[in-house]
Amino acid sequence: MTKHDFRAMGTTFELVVEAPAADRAFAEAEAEVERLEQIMSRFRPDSELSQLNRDGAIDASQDLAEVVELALAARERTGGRFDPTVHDALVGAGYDRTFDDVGDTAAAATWSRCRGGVTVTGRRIELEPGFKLDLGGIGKGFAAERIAQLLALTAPSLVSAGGDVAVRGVPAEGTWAVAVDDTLTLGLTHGGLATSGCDRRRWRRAGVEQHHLIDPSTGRPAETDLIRVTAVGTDAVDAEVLAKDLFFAGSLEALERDLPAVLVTADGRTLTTGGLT
Amino acid sequence: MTSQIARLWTVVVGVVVFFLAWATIAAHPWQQAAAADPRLTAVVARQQYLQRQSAQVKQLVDQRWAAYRVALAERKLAITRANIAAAANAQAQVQAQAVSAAIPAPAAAAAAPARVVTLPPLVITKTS
Repeated sequence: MTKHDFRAMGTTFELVVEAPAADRAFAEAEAEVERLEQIMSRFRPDSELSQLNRDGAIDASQDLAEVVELALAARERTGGRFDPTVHDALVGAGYDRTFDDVGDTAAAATWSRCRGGVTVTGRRIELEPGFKLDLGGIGKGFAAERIAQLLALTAPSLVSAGGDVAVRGVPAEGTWAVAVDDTLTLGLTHGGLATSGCDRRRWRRAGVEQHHLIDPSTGRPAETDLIRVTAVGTDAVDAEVLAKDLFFAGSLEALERDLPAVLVTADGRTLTTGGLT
Repeated sequence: MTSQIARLWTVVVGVVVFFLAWATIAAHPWQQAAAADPRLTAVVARQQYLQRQSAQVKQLVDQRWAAYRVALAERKLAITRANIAAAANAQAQVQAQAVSAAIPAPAAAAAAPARVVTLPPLVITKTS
């Protein structure tokens, strides 16, 4: 088992390959993540996404068009709980630079509307005036899947892009062990896994606590009785969307839906659903 | 002579009067003014009432019999259709079972994608 990690997209990518060495595969993976970040980062002024947000329309690369389509499909699937047009709300809440540079400020947070119009026709992407895209979460899931696909050419592999985990193939142990916290580890045989929560990536504006999970229905950081959700999906993108969906839904609905997930409530309870035993 | 003729006329007139009286009495002219027998009238009315009732009952029975035959025909048709559908379903199930038996499902796809394990973790999932 060979491991490799590096910083990209504002988080740490961890690559695991069941092979004695995978230097070349790791190098290719890093290059691919860098390429994808150059497309999807909202913090790089010269990225494709920044150009789209600036101009309101773009003839995009295949990857950007694909991620935006995935995001729109997720918005449809979750009834708007997952929304790529939370950019301005995130910026208003203070997440206007890479998270490493976000700090407490005296300026008050401002709120913005979400659920803006986005159309994708072939590779042509057009935004409703007044709206911009943030592809942070789904972009990491997309990248994790892409890298897992690359590494799978070498051997069974696992990719973790912060909270988003993608796997290909099955290791000798029979499952990929992914820790959810100090006491709970999930074994993943296929599909993806992702965590969304407000217990990290927090800051204060004018003394008011902020976090990066914007509820599109209010344009403000979400208020639920959950602080973290780890969800299992058909792939990392699906898991990322599902984790956010359940986080915004709250514990009651999440328990009723009984999808494979680990819920951590604000009062410190850890609940497993969907047959995770 | 005269008295014989007179006697003869007297006899003739007497015979005529006798037959006239006989005919009058035989005609029972006093009974025409009497009222009809109420029992007979009641029987006749009852008979007519029963005839009307009988006709109505017969008409009702005919209508209901016709409706029953229509409903019976529809029911038989529905049963026939249900039998045909059931036979088709049974055949489809047999075919589906044959196909699924011929193509074994991958073990990984059939199994749940994740479960709680006690293995040492390779990575830790954190908020993305």
